[in-house]
Amino acid sequence: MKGEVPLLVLTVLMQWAIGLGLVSATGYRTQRSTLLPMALLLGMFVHSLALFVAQLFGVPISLQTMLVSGVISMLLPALRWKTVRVSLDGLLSVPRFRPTLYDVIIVGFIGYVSYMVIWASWYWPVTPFDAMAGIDLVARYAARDGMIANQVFTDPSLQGQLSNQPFYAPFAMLMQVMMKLIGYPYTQIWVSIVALCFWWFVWSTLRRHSHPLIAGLLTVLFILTPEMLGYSYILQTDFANAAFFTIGCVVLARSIDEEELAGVFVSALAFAGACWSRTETPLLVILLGAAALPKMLRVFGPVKGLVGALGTLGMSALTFALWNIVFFNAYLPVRPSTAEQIRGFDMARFTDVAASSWTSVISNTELWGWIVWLFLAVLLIDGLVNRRVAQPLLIGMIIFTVLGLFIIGTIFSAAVVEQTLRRGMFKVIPLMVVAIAASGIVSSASAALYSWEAGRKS
Amino acid sequence: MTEQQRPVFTVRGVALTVAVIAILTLLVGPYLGEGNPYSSSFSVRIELYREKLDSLNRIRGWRDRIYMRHMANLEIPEYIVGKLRPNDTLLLPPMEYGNQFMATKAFWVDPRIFTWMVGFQPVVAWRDTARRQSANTFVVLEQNTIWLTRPGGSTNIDSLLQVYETLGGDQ
Repeated sequence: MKGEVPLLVLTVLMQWAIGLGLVSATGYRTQRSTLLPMALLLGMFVHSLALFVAQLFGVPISLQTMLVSGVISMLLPALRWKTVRVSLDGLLSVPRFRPTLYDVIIVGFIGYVSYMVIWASWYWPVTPFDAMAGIDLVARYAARDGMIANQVFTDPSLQGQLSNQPFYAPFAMLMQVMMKLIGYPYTQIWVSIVALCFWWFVWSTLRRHSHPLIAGLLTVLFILTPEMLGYSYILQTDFANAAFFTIGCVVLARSIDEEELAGVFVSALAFAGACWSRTETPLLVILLGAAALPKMLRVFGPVKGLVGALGTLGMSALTFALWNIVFFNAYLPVRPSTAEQIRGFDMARFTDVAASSWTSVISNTELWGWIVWLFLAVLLIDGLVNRRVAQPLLIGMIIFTVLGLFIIGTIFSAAVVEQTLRRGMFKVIPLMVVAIAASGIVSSASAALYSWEAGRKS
Repeated sequence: MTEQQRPVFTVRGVALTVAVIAILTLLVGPYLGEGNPYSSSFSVRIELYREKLDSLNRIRGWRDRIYMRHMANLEIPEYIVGKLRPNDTLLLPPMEYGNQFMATKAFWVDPRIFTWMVGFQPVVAWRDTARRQSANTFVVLEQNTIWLTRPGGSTNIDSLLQVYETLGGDQ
């Protein structure tokens, strides 16, 4: 066995432990099938953040730095050991699987797609222009020189030619650095690990809301979403961003529903990860925070609700500021021209962006398969038949996220509808899938299916 | 809704399994025609690789894998670097000039992509008007041909730059 495989396994296990420790340190309790994928994703985020902080303190980036920063991040939650131990109680108990035949078929199919996705992310070198011109170029020289502020930002051949790509939010770049330090110089294998965890998280969330057969089929539809499937093994910022954002939204909505404040902190961590993986995300977090605030105040009370909302915004603002303000101003010799790309809000332009987004992106089944139309149909049927909208907070989050994307398209000249907003929809599609599963009509169908399967009268 | 116990094996469970198999087959197979966006996407993004998995796995070298993905965008920078002399400073042509002779977009003319392909080299981007004058080596492309030219060589540099200018503008 080559040296990079054990190192990769060790790193992933370490990130898993970081995530498990952090989530359990908040006191958040959830199903193991939800906790495990969520923990690995959050662990990846926190590990990349720890590596970055080490660099901020002048520690050169190296394999040792990566491992030590991981170990320290892993040990930090142990400060709240009692809470951690209680939260993780039962994690290692023997799982009670009772799979049916169709579960096996669905798992087999997802397993096949997962295998191909892992293979492709390992086999192919970085391909998208944006990633080669930014994320991977910076990562390559960061791993070689031990510095994120490396030759890419100083060499005369690139002076004035960097555009935005090397300044993208750093999560993907730092994960590429880690892979290179481990011994994968050209691949993007972590992208498929993110994809698998994201799919697992969505699947487990769907199973909470609907019959396993419906959840399984919806998961398959989600995994096969044409535009997203390719990005499950191709290096870009958007897929990981969507994973963090979805976790943030789902956990926040659930915490509010179940009146569990600890979940708000977990969602804040996930939103911070989203802001760490795409620069414009804080705007969406602000909108979601505003959307959820009234309900948070009602459920948790004015003090705890406000602390939860401000904490969420604060953590997102912190990760945004660490890269975009602290690092750009104190460490980088050059800065992106982001400020020049911001235009004032213009209603006519907003209408244009919204209209072209709908016609060329949102309604396009070649990009999103049937999910958008299925979501709208389910929403309509729920409204007509049940005279109510199930999961209004989740629907609100979808609406505010789409509105936020329109605003981004309006105020950033570099945000092109066919590219930036198209990939921005990655954040909306999983929420739509969850909303479909949580709808009144699918709940009724699930109950009927349970009864029919068991031979009971419904 | 909380997850309920389901019977592990029943006739109805078998019927549901058959239904799941049918749905998955219809979803990823070619049976629904143009109305099924999943089939073509699955075919291009997953099945294509599955069919070629064995032959692709035999190609293990990184240079080969990068070449399969980027073709001329790798070959041209490699060729150029092989021909550069110690005091050369190469002017990368505008993308429109490269596009004339390539089936795919000529990304290699972007100095970031050039660097990704072959590392840091003494190059000047066409858009870098401030440093353009410092270039003393130029790329000439023709159908299936590429060479570097320098002042005093057989190619008229002014004419070449005029072509660059016409195609790429002053940017």
